[in-house]
Amino acid sequence: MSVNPLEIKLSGHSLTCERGERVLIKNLEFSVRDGQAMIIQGSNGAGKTSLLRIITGLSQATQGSVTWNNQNIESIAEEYQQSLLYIGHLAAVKRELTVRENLQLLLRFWPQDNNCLVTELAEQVGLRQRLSVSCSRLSAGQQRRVSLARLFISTQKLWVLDEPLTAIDVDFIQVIEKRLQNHLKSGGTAILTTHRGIELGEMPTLNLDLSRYEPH
Amino acid sequence: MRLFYSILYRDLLLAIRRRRELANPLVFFVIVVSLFPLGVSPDKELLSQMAPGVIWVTALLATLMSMDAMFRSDYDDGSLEQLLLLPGPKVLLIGAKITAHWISIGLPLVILAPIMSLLLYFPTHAIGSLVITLLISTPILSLLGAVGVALTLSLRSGGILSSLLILPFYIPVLIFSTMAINASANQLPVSGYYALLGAFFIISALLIPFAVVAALKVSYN
Repeated sequence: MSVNPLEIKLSGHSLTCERGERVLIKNLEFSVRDGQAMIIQGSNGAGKTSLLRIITGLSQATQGSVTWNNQNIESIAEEYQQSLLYIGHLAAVKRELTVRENLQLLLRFWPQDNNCLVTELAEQVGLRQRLSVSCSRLSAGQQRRVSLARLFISTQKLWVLDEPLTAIDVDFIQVIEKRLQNHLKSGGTAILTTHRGIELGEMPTLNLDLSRYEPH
Repeated sequence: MRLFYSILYRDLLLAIRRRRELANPLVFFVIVVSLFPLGVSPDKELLSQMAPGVIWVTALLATLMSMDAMFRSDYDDGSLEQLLLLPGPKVLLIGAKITAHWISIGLPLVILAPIMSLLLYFPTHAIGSLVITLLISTPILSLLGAVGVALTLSLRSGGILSSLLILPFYIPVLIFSTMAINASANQLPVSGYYALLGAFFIISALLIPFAVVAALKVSYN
């Protein structure tokens, strides 16, 4: 399948998001194409996570809609979920289980085309030596690595990442940046929030500043 | 169906790792039942009359205690949102989680109850009906509880509220189960009670997973 660079994959139409009584975002419009990354910026509490959750379909916008391939994501939920990888700010790592078991569960649940082995996956996230350690004994950064292992088995077209670089070290940030670039090169789309800035080389990126959509 | 078995495997694996936490309701069950002869009276007549009620009420409270475990930790560490984003029917996912909960709490109670019933001079010819009512009804308790827990997930002190929500729905199950046991202890026909409980079970097994999916959506909004 050839990638048409002009094709709009994901877009939001006049999105309004409320939390309690407060309006966080008003009339937000965005559209992202194949091979493009969108970086959402905004101060703490500006509604970055809320927006990402709306994009994933986990929560609904007060007004407006999100479309994928020009179809409302709610009407194509099953198909949309097949092409979506979401990593939230919570690690979704089971602390009671070992690194090996957590990775096994990932391989069990997430779609993948090649038969990836747990040891290979652990190698990629730099936890090969810690396979049989319980995740409750890992540092925050190492737990994050377990969670980010999803990026290395992912075949999904759309990545939605909430602060993917929190707590991980410089070396691994480079690995993640590389992985993101490859994903974009192969025609994938990524939406992410980050406070520290991310190096995506020559890949087309779009910046979305939430402060422009704050209600006055 | 692969999704169903994968979730079931995952939740049972977690249950084994968390066995100390999961043993709490079972220990509670054993302690309360064994304190009754000491606290009330060791009188055989009195105890055997109270036994069905005591065992059933304690089993019901033990199940209620364990309900929060079904979604709470998955909600807190973000795994629940990952599970909900998996492609595939959400009803199967919920069904698997409820089944896993029943296997880790309901089934041990079914096994423990006849043993504990000996402490209360439980009429021996009625032990069969005790086991049957528990076998039909503990899944109903897990199913009903799931709705309450799913609805109150986003609240900080959801535990008490969900108990209050669930309890009224537990009462018919309690009444019909103890009536069945009493009937069987008095050598009266019991099949009518079993049929009613069975109908409860079938209806809740068919409808409740849908309600839980809807309740989780509410909690995530």
